[in-house]
Amino acid sequence: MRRLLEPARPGPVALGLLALAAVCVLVAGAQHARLFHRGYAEVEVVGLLFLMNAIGSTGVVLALVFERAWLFVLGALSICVPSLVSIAISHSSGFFGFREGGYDADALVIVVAEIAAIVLALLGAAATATAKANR
Amino acid sequence: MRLVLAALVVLVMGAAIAGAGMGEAPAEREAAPTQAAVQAAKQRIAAGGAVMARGRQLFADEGCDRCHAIAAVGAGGRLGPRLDRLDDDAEDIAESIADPRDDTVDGYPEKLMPTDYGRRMDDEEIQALAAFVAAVSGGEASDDRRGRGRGRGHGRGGGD
Repeated sequence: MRRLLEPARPGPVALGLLALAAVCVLVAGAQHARLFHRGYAEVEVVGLLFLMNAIGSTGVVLALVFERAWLFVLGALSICVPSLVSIAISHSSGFFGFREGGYDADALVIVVAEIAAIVLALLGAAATATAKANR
Repeated sequence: MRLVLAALVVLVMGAAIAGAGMGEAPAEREAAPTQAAVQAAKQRIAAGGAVMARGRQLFADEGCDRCHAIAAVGAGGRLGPRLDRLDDDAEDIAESIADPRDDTVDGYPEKLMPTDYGRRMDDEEIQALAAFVAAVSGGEASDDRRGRGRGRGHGRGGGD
């Protein structure tokens, strides 16, 4: 827990990967905010989760800005993984009673950005840990 | 530098969260029905008997109210077109439920509505739901066809 809150100084490669992950997190968060204002606000539970995704995305990116790299990685995974799972569920059995019939451009932006955020955050975390082990 | 970056992130995301430049739901462009129309729709629902009650129940159970607005029953969904301003009869509505990609309303996402209602619901349920929507929309079906279950919806035999 303390490690999460301690400032971490990743190397240039790790920082680059984490910065790209942060951009992807922000893109997905902004897209959730956009969809929230374009009709999803009225969808029970799902609308609120869209708003929380946008707010949470802002928070975790701020964590990276202030050098809490591990908090950023944990936060990015905690937002993006459940979000992707929720999207998949909403396209099959239904998520809190909400079902969607297909992936339009709006949904694809989120899916691509969140998958990229997960991959980049994990690579950035691995690079950070490797660099620390080699020191 | 760090503070500038943080301020930029907060500014951009704050604007997005507040809705600045985010546009509006397509349904915002549709006017709500008048109070008189809402009252008339409520009366048609009340007078519709078991079929109407079944259709109303399905409208909620199948999650239609998440995306579609019907003022008479307090549904405020904004992702899809308002269903209380349609000009379709029950038969057309039944077809749209079973095959929503066949004829979509301009300005709405084409892929949003699930395509499996035709498999999830039987003919009787689709007819009841279509009759309910036709009744609240004030379309042709609402007054003289309501509840008779003659809609076919892609070859379905009606009946209720």
